[in-house]
Amino acid sequence: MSTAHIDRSLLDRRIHELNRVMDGHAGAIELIGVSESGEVELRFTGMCTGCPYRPLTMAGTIRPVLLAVPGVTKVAAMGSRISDEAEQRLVALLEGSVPARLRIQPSGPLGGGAEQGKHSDDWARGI
Amino acid sequence: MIEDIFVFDNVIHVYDLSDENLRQDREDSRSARDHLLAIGAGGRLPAYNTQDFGKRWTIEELYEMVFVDAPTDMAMAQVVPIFDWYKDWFAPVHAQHAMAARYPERVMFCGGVDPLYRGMVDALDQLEYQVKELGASSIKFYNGHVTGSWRCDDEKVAYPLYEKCRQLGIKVLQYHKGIPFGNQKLEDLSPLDLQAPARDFPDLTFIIHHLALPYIDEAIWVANRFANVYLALSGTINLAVIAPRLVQEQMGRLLMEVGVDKLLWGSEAALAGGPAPYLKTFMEMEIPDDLRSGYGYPQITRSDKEKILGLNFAKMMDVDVAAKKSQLATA
Repeated sequence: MSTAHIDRSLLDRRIHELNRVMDGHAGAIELIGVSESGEVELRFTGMCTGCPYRPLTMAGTIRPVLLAVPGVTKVAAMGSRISDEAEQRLVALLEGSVPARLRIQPSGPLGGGAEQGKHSDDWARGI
Repeated sequence: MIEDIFVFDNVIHVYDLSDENLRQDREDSRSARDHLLAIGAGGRLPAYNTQDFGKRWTIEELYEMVFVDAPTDMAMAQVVPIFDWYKDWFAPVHAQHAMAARYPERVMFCGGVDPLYRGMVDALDQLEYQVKELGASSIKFYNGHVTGSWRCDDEKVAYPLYEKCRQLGIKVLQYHKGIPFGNQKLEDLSPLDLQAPARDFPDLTFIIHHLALPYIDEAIWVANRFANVYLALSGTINLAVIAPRLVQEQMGRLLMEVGVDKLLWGSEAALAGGPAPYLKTFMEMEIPDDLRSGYGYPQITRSDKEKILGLNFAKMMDVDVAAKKSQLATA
C-alpha cells in the first residue's frame, strides 16, 4: 500500500496544531516518517524528551488527533510505548475522567472540537 | 542468522589478557587483570570455562566462538584503550584490525584512542592512522583511569577528538560506561558527561555501553533526551542466567522509556563467553504479565528483537542487510 492516500499537508497541519498545544509542555513532536501501511512515527523534542508522562500525552492528546487524519492507522513515538494493559487503563481513565464537553473529538479543531451542551457534572460519571 | 533475523553484534574484543601484556611498572597490573577475568568468569556459562581466558586471543578462536558456534552474521571488533595495566591495551588496536582484515565480509573495525595515553597530538595522529590506514569505521573511548580520568564533555581534552572524528568522516563514537575494570572511581564512568557532546555534536552518534551499570537511570535519561544517543546491551543480557527478572525489568523499561530503535545487541565475546546461549535467552525473552500491568512495560516482540539484534546497528553503520544476507549466503 502506498502512503499517497494520506494527505501529507493535512498531517503536517495537524502536527503543527498539536505543537501549539505542546508549547504548553515546553516541548513538541516532530515527524520521523510514515510507513506504507499508514503508521506514523514521531519523536518528542524539547522538554518532552525524557518525560515519563509521554504515554499520557500520546494517548490523551496526540494519538486521537493524528488517528483522525484519513489513512493513519497507528501513531507511535519513542519513549511512549507502553503495555497493552497500561494503554487500555490509560484510555479508560481518559475517557472516564474528562468531562465530555472537554473531550477532543476527531473532527474539529486539533482534529476535534469541544462537545457542546453537556452538563458540567459529567466529570464524575465515568470515574 | 536466527531464522531470518540478521544478527549484528555491536561489540566483540580480541583480548590480550596474557601475562606478557601486563605492565611491569605497576604493582596493580596483575590484580586488575585478574579482576577483569573474574568478572568474565562470573558471567560466563561453565561450558566456556574449560579454557584459560588469561591469554592472547587469536582471531581464529574468536571467529569460531562468534560466527561458527553462534548464529552471528556480522560483528564489530572494538579496541578498548585501557592502558593503565596493559602494555598494548587489553583489546589492542592491531588485533582488532587483524580480525576485520581477515574476515572483511563479517567484521568491522572500531578503533580507539585516549588523550591521556601519550597526549593529544598522539591521539589525533592515532585517529588519523586508524581511520585512514586501518579503516576504522567507529571509535571507542574509555575515559575512566586510576589516575587522570578525563571527562567526555571536556572541551579541551575530548572535543578535539570528536572534531577530528568528524573531519575523518567517523560518525559513530562509543563509550565504555559503568562497570569499571579496575579500582578507578566508579563515578568517572557515569554517562552524564555525554549530554553536552550529544548536544554540541548533533551530527555524531554516541553509544553508551553496558547500560552504564549501575548508572542505568542516568543512561536512560541521557538516551531518551538526546536523539543521537544509543544504548548497547553489551554483556547485559548475560545476567539473565542469574537474574532473569532483573533483565526483564531492564528490557521492559528500555523499550518503554528509550525505545526499541535505540538499542543494540552486544555480546562482549570472548570474555563473556560465546554469544549462542545469550542469543537463545534473548530470543525466548518475554516481559511478564505483572511487569506489563504494574509498570506499563510493553511486551517485547519479534520485530523488537530483530531491530535490537541487528537492524538498528546495520542502519547506523550503513550496512544493507538484504545485500549482506545474499553475500553471506553465497560465501
